[in-house]
Amino acid sequence: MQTNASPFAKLNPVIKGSGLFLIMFALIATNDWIKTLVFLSFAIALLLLSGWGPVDFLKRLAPYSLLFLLTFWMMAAFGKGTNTLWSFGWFHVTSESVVHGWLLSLRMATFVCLSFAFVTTTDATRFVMSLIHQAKVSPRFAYGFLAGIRFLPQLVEEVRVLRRVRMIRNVHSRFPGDAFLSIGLPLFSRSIQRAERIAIAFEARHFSAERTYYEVPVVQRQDIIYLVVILLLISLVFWL
Amino acid sequence: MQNWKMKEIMVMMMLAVACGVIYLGWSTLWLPMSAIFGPVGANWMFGIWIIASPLVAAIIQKPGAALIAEIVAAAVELFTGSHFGLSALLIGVCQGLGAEIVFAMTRYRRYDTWTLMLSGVGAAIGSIVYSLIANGFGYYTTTTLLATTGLQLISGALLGGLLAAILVRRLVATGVLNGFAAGRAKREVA
Amino acid sequence: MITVDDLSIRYPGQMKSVLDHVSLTIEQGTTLLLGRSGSGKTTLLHALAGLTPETIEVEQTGTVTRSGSVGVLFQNPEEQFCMETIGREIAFSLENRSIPRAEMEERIERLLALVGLPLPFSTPIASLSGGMKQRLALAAVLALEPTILLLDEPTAQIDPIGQHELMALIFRIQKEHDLTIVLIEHQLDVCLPYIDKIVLLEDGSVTATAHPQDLFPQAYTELQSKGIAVPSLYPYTLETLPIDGPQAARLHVLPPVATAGTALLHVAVLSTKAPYPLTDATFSLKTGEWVMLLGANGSGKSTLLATLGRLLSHQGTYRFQERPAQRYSRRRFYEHVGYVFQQPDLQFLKLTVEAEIDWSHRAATSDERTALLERLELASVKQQSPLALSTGQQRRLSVATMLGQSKDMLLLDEPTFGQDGLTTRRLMEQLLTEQQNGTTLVMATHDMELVARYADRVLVMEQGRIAFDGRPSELFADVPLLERCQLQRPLSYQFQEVKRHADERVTVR
Repeated sequence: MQTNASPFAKLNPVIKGSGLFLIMFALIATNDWIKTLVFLSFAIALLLLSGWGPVDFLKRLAPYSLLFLLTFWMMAAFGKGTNTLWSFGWFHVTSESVVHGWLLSLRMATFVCLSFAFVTTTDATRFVMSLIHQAKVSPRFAYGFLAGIRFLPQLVEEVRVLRRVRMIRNVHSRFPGDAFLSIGLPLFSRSIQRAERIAIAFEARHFSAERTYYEVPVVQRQDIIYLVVILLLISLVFWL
Repeated sequence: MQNWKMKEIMVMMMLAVACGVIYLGWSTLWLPMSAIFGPVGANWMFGIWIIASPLVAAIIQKPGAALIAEIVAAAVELFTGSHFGLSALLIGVCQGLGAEIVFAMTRYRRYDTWTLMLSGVGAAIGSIVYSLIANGFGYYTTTTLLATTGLQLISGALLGGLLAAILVRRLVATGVLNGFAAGRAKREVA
Repeated sequence: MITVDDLSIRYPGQMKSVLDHVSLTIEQGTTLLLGRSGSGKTTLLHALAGLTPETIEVEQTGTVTRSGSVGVLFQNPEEQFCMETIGREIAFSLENRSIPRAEMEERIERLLALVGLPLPFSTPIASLSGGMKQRLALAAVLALEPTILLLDEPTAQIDPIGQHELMALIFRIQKEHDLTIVLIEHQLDVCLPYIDKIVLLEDGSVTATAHPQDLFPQAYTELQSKGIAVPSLYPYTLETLPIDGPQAARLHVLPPVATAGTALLHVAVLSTKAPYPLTDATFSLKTGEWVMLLGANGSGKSTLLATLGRLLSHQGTYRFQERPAQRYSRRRFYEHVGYVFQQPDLQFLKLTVEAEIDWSHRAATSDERTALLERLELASVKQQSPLALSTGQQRRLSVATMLGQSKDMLLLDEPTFGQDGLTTRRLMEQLLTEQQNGTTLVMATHDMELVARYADRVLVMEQGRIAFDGRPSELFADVPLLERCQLQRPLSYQFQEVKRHADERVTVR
């Protein structure tokens, strides 16, 4: 997650996220693919406001065409319906399931675009600070989360080492979850020891909830306008 | 939330992030599986995705642990810049709530293997409720839906709850949990 | 000032106390806590900082009273940060002290300048080197404006060049700000000149408090025999070190006798795809050779190791035992080749020490396995989880599990990084035995003393290429190359040179 210089990046992170969740709830509430299509266009408009050029669309969204087809196929082949169009083995395609597949893959595509709009315009630290100030999340949990998330790359590397060790030492899974157990034990034991050391470091630096803040995200007029636009859009779509 | 020690908060965060990393790897396996076997066939894999809840709850043994852990694990997807970030967060809330309710029903007193497996089932129910509402599971044929539900419940209990119980027991044996509720409980029994 | 009165500390679930009726006074100036690992020095430091018995939950009796505020710098730079950028990290300390926002920027700027990191606030911490990270951590501690600074092995996890810089910086700041310092440190030659008082800890008790000059060189042999860290030179210099003393004896290094083996592997124009830095490597290795890989961070040491271990795909020729390496199935290849990663605890996949050995030595008889456990001094802990062992034990076990039934080649990625002298020495002895059995060892390291003592041959990496391939003594003579690759000549080599010069002067006279 990181920010850029686009208009959408200037919004308050929590307000931005809340607005996107509102659209997601609206999407979930509708079974109409035309309404879904309206929301999809809005999501694409948000991507434009997030500083996406045509190349970004092609490069970053192309892999999702596959996912789009897959979502469609899953519902089309396994969905219920009576008007059979085609059937083979355990696949059973009906006209109803095709419509439902279309609806769900559109919904999935909109979710993807909304998430992209958020993660390409929001700085992780600023988001967490906004959680403290706008969403009233406890600073101890919020800062703890920030410290934890900093170890993502290291944890990814540790999982990679563990998988390589399994390969080199010729250890193979005997049942589902076996790999998870043998990778999880050293990974979690390390994480627990590390977490204790970080907690000690926190307290050694006199960390407490009573504090001033270097960075205080505020709610501005643009955030209110953004929320109003989304609420208007949702009511408009559902009225028509 | 005031009675959480800083080290408990930190352990929850680190374990949840570590689970999140494992979820990412598990997701890459999921796609090819589900393309071939459909929504039913890949569902035996479901349980791993909710393991953060029983794992962290059994270690910390405090109200809220199961719910927050699963949300944090889901947030890892968001913070890696994933396209599923926002929906992962919604699913995480539903799964975490499902697991949390089970622990709440024991009044946060029981963290044995059976309770953990039951919390896995709770998380599975949470997940299915979300899928019914948001992913159109209701449109599947009844057989598909029932098979999916059944597999998720079993997988939640085994790959989620049971695996978490085994892991916690093994972690206790290494001594790293000596300063936590799970490690203390073991010492008192012994 | 800190006064400790009759302090005893016991960790929950353990029978023995870590600190046993300790009384001591910490005065102005610099105090060094000295003792072998497990002697209780870290626990004492934590107690001095007031982290026990609440933050670190222990059973504690006795009192610790402090006049002044305390700041603590820990060993691992990674594990004391909670923010992503350097500006926010220092701001975090200021926030904790409820410093008004308006004053923060100026203070951050001043602190960054103080520790020699005049970088933009938005610089990601992840982009800093280990030494720079530790300096940032120091700035974050100084932001708390402590009058007492407690340092827990601050240089253990950073490379040699950074160690000297950090130490010099700490003592410069101490002078400017009149700080009281309590320090745990193994690099004694670097810090002893600054020390006013040494507190010697053995088995949880204070057994001596003395000025370093009253302890060294008199107690040198006694401390060394107890496994406590001792300085290589202090109180002498290379020029004044008595030639017949125990310190000179330790610096006397016989270069290893090269054993001519048969051809083991050959690589030519070996390279990896970006972002991995290996661009061009050509060399051959013989059986029973001990090769050390040197080079600055990011020069390609780990990449070369990973490529030789077939963990990364490569371009170019790689022949192992006369056949292209890719021809071997993974399974066959790793019957010949082992790989020791930097973190021993990530190499264990079984539940007990015994099960680890049973798996890696499954072709051996049970008597042979029992003998191995005895040899590794792990027999008494064989039923324990490998994750419950001490670091030294974990190191020995991780190498043994990777070796299995004697492999042809063992690749090691900085296996001694952050380890104390005793652990390092025992690990080297274990590896030496394997080398004598004909195993080729390829080891990445920063430790030039190890190079002087054990390496038959050195490969120096520079920007993905091999800048030097030859004997260690040839490398130590090539000063421009050493400087370019940020390498220091080992003390033992420098000492020999000084001696040689002295001898020459004598003959001339």
